[in-house]
Amino acid sequence: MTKETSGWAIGWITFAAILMIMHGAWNVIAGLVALFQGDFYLIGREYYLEFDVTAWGWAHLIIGVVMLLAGFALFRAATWARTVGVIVAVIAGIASFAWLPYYPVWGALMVTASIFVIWALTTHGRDMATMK
Amino acid sequence: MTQETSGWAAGWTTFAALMMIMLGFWHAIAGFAAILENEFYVIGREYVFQFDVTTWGWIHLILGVVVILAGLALFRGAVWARTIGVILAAVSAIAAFGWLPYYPVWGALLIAAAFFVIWALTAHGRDITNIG
Repeated sequence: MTKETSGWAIGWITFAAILMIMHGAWNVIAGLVALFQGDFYLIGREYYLEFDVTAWGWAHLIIGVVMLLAGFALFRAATWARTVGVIVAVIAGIASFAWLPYYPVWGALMVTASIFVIWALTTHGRDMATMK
Repeated sequence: MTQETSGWAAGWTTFAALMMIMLGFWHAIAGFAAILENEFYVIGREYVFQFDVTTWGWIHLILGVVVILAGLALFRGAVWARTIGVILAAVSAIAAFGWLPYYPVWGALLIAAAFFVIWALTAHGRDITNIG
């Protein structure tokens, strides 16, 4: 029984960790594109959140790196990684939605990944205690 | 055992609350785009629900603020917040559907988030009551 619970727990936490690493990498990719090739992003209409492309690039890069680190830490069942993961995922979800007009498909995918990270970490996060 | 149920329940409440806060921010972001900028939303065809863009903007903004507040109330385990949350999420999804032609990707994401809120609060709502 304990074994089963533990196996289940490792499954969902692993899911969350891999999703966070993926999500983090996506953010890094989108951020690097903005920093090295700002004219890649074209909105084509007036948008009130159209800050300097570089500013959005740094925002993505920072969110991505934090997400990657927390994702790797989650593999070691670090409790802080769960809390940080949920908070970063919510921030990433809101930021991706706001940034979406720059590149809608990437924005939509990031938002979706955020939802799944939040879901796995909140509803299955407590199982993590059984991993130790 | 009771503790376990409660832990599980708290997880779903946290998930629903965070999703509502995120959904609220998304509505506000979409709303401000309409209020601050008239050129952002362009419908290339005639549409029955094509009210004044600013009207839709205010609908989004008000809905967003209410959803965020209800999400925060949910954190405190208020039973009424659960009922209100389901109703608000349904209203949000209907409004987002009606508004979708203005910006389809945002519309679809708003609906997806509303789905998750309804799912967490209805399918797992009974567990949530166990917290108190």
